[in-house]
Amino acid sequence: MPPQRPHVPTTRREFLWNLGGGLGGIALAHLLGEGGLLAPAGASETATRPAVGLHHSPKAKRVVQLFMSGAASQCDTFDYKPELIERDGQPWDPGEKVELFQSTPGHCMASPWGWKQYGECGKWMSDLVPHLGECVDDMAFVHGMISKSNVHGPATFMQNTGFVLPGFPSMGAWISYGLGSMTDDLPTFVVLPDARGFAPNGPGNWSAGFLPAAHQGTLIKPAEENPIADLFPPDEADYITPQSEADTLALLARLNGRHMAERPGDSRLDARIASYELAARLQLSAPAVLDLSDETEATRRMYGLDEKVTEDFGRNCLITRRLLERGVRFVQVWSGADNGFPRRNWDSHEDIKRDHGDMGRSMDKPAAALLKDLKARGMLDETIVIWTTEFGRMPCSQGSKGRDHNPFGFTSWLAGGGIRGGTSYGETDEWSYKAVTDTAYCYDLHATVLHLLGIDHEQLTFRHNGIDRRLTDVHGRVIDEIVA
Amino acid sequence: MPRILPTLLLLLLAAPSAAGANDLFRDEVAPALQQHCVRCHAGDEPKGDLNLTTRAGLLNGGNSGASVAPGDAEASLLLDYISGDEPAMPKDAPPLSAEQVEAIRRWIAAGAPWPEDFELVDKHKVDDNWWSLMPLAQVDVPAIDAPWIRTPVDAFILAKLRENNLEPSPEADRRTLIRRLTYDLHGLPPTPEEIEAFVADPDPNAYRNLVDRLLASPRYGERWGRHWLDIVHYGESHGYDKDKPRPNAWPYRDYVINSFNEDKPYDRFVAEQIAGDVLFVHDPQATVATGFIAAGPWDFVGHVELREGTVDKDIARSNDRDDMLSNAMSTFTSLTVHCARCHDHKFDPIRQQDYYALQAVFAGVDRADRPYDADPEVARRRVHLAAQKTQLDEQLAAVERRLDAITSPEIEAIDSLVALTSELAEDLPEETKSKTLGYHSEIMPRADVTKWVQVDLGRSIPIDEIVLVPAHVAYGGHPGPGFGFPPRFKVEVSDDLDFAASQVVCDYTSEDYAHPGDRWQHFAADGKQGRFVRVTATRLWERTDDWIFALGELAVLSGGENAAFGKPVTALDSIEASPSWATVNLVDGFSSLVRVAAADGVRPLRRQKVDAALEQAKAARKARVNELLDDDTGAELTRLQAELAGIEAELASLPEQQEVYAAATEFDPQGAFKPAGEPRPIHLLGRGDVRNPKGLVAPSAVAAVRGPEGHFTLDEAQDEGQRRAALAGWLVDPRNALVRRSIVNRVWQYHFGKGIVDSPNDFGRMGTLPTHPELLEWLAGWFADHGHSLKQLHRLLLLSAVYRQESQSRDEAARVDAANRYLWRMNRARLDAECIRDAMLYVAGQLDLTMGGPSVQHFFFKDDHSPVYDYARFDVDDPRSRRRSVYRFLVRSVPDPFMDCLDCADPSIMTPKRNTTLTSIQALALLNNPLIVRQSEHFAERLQSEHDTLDAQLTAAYRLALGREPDDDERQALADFVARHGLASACRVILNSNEFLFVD
Repeated sequence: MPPQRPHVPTTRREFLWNLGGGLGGIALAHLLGEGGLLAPAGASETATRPAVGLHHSPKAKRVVQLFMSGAASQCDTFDYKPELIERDGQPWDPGEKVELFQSTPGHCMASPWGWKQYGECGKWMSDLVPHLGECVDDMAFVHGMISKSNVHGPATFMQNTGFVLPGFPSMGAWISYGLGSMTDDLPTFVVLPDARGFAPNGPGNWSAGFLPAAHQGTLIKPAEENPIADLFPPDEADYITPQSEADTLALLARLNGRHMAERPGDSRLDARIASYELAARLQLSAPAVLDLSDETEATRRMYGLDEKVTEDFGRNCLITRRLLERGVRFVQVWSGADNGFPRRNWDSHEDIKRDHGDMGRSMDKPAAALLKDLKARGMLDETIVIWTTEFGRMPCSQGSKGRDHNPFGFTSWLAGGGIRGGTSYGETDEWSYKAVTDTAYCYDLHATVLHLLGIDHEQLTFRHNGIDRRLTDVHGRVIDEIVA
Repeated sequence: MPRILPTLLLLLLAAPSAAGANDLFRDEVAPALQQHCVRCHAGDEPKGDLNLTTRAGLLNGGNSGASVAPGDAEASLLLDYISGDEPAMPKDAPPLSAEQVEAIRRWIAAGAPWPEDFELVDKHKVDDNWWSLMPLAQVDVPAIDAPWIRTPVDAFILAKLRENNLEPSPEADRRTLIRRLTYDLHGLPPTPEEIEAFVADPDPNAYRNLVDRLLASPRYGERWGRHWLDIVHYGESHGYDKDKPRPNAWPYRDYVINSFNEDKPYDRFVAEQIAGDVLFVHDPQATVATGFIAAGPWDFVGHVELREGTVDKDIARSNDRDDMLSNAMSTFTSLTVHCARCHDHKFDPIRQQDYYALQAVFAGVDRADRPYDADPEVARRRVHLAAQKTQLDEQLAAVERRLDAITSPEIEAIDSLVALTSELAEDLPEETKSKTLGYHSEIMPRADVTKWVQVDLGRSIPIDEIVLVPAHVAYGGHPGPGFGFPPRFKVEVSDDLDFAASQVVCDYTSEDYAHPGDRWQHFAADGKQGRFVRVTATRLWERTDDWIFALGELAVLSGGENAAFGKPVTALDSIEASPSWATVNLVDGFSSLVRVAAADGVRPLRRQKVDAALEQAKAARKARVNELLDDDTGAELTRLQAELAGIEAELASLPEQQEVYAAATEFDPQGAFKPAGEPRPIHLLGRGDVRNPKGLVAPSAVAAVRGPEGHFTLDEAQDEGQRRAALAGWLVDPRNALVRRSIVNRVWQYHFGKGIVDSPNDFGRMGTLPTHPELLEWLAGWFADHGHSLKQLHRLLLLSAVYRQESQSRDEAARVDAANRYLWRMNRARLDAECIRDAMLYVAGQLDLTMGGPSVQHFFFKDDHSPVYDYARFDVDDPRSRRRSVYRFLVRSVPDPFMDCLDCADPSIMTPKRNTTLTSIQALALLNNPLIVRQSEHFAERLQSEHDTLDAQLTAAYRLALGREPDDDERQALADFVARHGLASACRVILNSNEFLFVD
């Protein structure tokens, strides 16, 4: 890695970001100094928080969701099938008509990667994910996953919201709604998209749906010049200076205070005043959380920040840890953008070796680093890490080198708070084609995550358009077999 | 099943042999089970797997085993569960009475008799006396005499207030009233001049005149049309993956705005949106109205890319109809029919059958662009001309039949030639639709890049001709023909894989080649010998700000065969997007459109030649016949042809038709997305699963709604238009009280901040009950009696004393009714997202009040596999950002983050009522979003250009933004602030103030 040379800020915005929110900091200090103007911390956010308490004592308090957009193959990563290797290149006959998304089934196709056993549990993992192999004793694999849709958009909605239709709240929004915030300095639910763009459905994947907007994911794009929209005034606004900003908030508080005094009994006026204080706190905290200069060289290397292939996802994983340390409840990290060309997500119809190769290498080391780092810092016990994708891929070939969609069987894994490490739950058939034993839907994963957070998934509801909606629709079973 | 219960009870009563135990069941046990148990223990997925609606269910038991041991009460789980100090059942509900428990005990002891085939039904569901399903009741205005009362509405309100020991609040001052009214009806603040004029108006009718003026302004339709667009979840992109824009959705938005402004009777408005194209064929706007049906999201991949006959295709279609019927029933009837998709409605008397019957109503329509004439005059003219043309065509055909009889030896010779050629053509394959597109290079950021693709013929052969068949794909505004055909290229033949030495067949690398469209390009190779044929593009074709090389098919003719067919293809690079694009598709025998060649040679190529020869022969015959015509026939022919040409010319000269994204039955197929032809068969789906179809379901409406006939009598069952027309008829039937209650409640909600029923899309058991049921009833009747005029309804509500109250809270009243359910004061409102944005532009002097037309895009757009919508890459000072917010282009997958954080409606879901949140992200957006930051500057510039002194500028700022003058204290604080930080900073503070964002 090249030596770090001092960075000279070129724009005012960059200056502000580097200052660790200097402008917001000044404003906040000013506000705090005024005294008496401050509403109770968090008043605005809590005003929108429903009275949903914990239903039982939680085993974990925060969640990281790693989402593999485009459909990551189970049979090239975690679902080891000797039969498939043996029959490589032979005609594939699963004994029934197979309806594929794009193609007609080709021959059996073994993974281009070899397989090895890892950990005390002896889990077979492919050579595409060797770093995750080092973590298997902390991971629980759910091999019998099934999706209700074979199409990226609806299936991606399903894994996020439990529904194949747009307009439903995502898991992070539900958890924000159910448990609220652990900090007033940062949002409750943060989303880190792939640096190359949004996955299918875009921000619909972290929408609050019909829940109050406060619960939607806050987008942070660390690789961009302006990682959080509207955190600071735009560069062009010459008339705004640190001093004017402090005075602006003070004057605003004064005018709003007078307005409120004449209109007693309306808590919204109060909450809106408090929201400016929270905004100032966010200005102070957000740049600090994104500033990686206080991380050690060893940490940066562990996350792969020194290599091109792992740099983007690695940075997002490292920032994830920093967000969790500072009290963020739910972080969603995306590996993969949309399904376009050249391939920029896991949708490897044409060439699994080439395209899964890139995606796997970029994900494996940083994801493993996150697990190890959280563990080393004593945080993994209270953090659920969940690795999901919209569906899996077929064990037969598409064209000669690719794999088509497989909603019939795929793998997710969980690790951390309350999860029994070194377990594998559910199985696909001998091909890794269909889930046959202990099958599971996203409902079961969601129910399990909520359970570990102390929430009964049947009791976390919100009335919308005549129905008490749940993250788990009318389904869901806590997978006790993977709970410690 | 629900409706058979009373009959069965009667049968039971009549059963002579059933002694005491049977009576016990009928009189006590069945009602007890019905009251306490079957709400959960019924249906496909009963709680605990225990179904208590049938004897079999009772005896089979659930997860815990058989629930009843006939004859042995003490051994029966059922009794165990429901008795004791803290009975386990019913869960979270009051226990059964001691008498009921005892009755069940005796009944079990007596052998638990249960009449054969008898089925218990959830009592909650069979109750179709539910208030909202009843016919409209005649309600009298409460006879209260109080000076406060201005309208009948006030009498209802005052009666309720008095019942609750509450008093109304005093009338707000005129400054407050005009601000309240103007935001309410226009979504904008009043100007200082309007305020002063109203405050000073001595006319006793000043308030009434103000209401009338506001209702007459076109700003009214923009404001209230936006409410409607929330309800119907109108959006301008498909949603889901590949969220493509809908460039022709906006005519529906304009239709809605115009309908409000014209005060279109609500029943007509309803009918037009469901079936305007069928019911009002001569009004093109009634066709535009069916944009309602198409307003919601649409799964592009599911419809266009998935093959017919797959499970996911069926799911996509079922979801599509689900959206249509949910939209129709939620919007117009406030019923949650969509809850009955997987099972009978759990709470309301809506059967699964009803749900699928409504799916059947929409089973023949899809969402697509549909042509219409914006000008009704033109529409009429077009229909007229088309009729004339049909007539002339017939006459001409009659004459031509006469011409067929004319003959001569020469004509006979031509005829036999035609016959022979036709026979020849019959042996050659018909045009077959293509399944693949062709070859596609990687995408380049510039034009002048060299790309090549080549075919290996296997051995060196003499080549007669090389045919380049252009690709054809409609993409990103490009219509399709000649997609990717390079303006500069050459074709070479070589025996060398790398073309180190080659023979040139043609070379257009030094000047641009005319774009061929769909025409096949033939290049003579004159027997040049070679094993490889390479096409090299030296300047690429422009797609959308990027460049590519694509070709549908490459044919190499040698000895009458296509030697390239199925041979290996290599390229410098290629986008392999099977099945559409692939190198192998260059020689697979298909262009992007049709079969070009087959495995056994070039027969389709020959077919083209034969068809051309036939055309020639027919033309020759016509010429000969014309020479032999008698004068009369000749004159008639000439006249008809001239008339027809005239009609056709006039048709062609009509203004081009516009398109609206609406309900459509005819449209150009796109991939696997094709018109249904006739309504698709609709089955009741077990548990809502397309893999579990039950019986066929015919279209009808909801049986439980009292009054209108829910059963449809259709002349032509397969006529899809009749199905929608029947639903429209059911909705606007004067006996359908639900539709009137639904709309008056919505109007009430938007005026008062909360509906009489606070769940505007759910008038069922899970919704909230009306706070003022008599008032709702009276309003619904009044509305129907006043021509379904929304403007009259507004007038009625706005002129009331209840609307004119102050919004100040009063402790003694708040203690009784903190939520203000009984309206002892007016509700204070936070401005919604559109109001905030529009008001900001308005006070800054920037708002562009141009109405209608295509939506303005406040984002950078790039069409791609998944199109890119980037709001950050848009100049907030672009004139497009100055239009009213109702004209914004509404993207589903990527909503405008600024509007989104202000609780703007999400077009993916119906939004009958917006949330109001107050978050830190919102505070940051209002402080720092480039739009606000720039408008603060514009606001300051405006003040400075209109007023000389700072004091006057501050006064004007307050009057414009807040509708009042600053007091001395505020004046001083602002002046000090401006001295340090400038006027723009002060404007930014004012635009962020609570007083700007809330309306008293």
